[in-house]
Amino acid sequence: MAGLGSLPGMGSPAGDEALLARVVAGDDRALEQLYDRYAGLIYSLALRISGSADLAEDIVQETFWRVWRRAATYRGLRGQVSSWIISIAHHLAIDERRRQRTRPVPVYDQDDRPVLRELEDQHSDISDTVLADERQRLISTALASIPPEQREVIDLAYFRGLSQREIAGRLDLPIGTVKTRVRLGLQKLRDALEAQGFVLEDLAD
Amino acid sequence: MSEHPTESLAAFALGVLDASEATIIAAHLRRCAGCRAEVEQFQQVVGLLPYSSPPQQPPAHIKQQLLARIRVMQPETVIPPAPRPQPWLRAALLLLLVVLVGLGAYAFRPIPDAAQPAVVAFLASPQTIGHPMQSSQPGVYGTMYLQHGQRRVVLVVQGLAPPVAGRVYQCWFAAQDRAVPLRTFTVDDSGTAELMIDIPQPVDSYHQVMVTIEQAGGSQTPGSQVVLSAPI
Repeated sequence: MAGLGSLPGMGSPAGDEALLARVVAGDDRALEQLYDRYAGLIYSLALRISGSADLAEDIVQETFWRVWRRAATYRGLRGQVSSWIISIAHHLAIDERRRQRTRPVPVYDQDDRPVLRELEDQHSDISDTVLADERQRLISTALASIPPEQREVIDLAYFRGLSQREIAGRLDLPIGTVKTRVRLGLQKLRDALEAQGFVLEDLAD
Repeated sequence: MSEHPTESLAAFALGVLDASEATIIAAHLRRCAGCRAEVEQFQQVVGLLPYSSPPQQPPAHIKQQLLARIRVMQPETVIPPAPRPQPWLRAALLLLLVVLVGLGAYAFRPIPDAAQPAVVAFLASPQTIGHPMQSSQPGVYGTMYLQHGQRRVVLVVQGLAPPVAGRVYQCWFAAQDRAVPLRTFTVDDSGTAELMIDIPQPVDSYHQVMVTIEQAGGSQTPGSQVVLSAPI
């Protein structure tokens, strides 16, 4: 089934499922392959949410550790393996970000750590990079196309981990308005993605 | 309640509802396939948000640490039990056991002496200095990572053959008049080990570190087979 965001040449959802089944069976080489596919995505997400290279590195490691330890629990969930891995990382990163609010941690300026910017992954070839860039362009374009006040609440929710109550407080809006902006923003984002050719997986019973 | 909470479905998918409201929506979703399908579509859209940033590869040692952490759980790399357990070895094994049990429930809180996340943080710290170690054996590499004035080091070795039956590798720190025995270890089938070691005195009070081959269970005085060494 064509999943959301699947493009030719990418790690296919069916391939990921097979890898995860091998992880359940204790095959660490399968975990290594999942790492090679998704560590870059997870790391950039963790960097964006936590603002710290040290924390992002810990989040990447802990995410794949949990994939290793909890692979069997995925079997009962719906959706793609990649979404599951992302959700583990997102949860960890938001938790850590909330913890940081009470315990300020020096944020490393990324220019002090230039080695982090190198693409060290020997397993990716040019086509993977081109597809990753293309995917990033499509999604960024879709995000840029929705009204800024809707994009703002989505950003505060997803990348800062704020609740609707906290967003309402920060923007001085009623909670109902926040809910509406979330709804309209996600609907417009969905429509923009579909207009660019993304196919939403039909998970209905 | 027969009405559909359409205003809240997107917020539910984005995870911004408070717990009590989310519980109510979740209960409705269990009964309503239409709302469930809409939530799942929203969740797919939310799941694409991370792709809006360009991917950046993490440093290679993250993957090494992860795989080392996984392989230490597997039977081939368990430290062999000592035939005559000595107090410090028992303490080291107990520490390892506590760490392994703690890692299973690791909830991203700092755990005292948690090995692998602390190793990662230690290696990445700007205060950490790496001392390459010398070996008489070709293909064997070791680095001792330390911070001046501290009592914790990380040893990374590569290219070591697994010790023969009945033997282990052991670390030592040498001060003026004696060698301090520290933890024993073995290597995985790629010949790699990464260890965090706590030493009794700050690292600067020692003048040498070394790795030897000893009888299983470790020794109180170093034997003659020195595999790796470095001045401090």
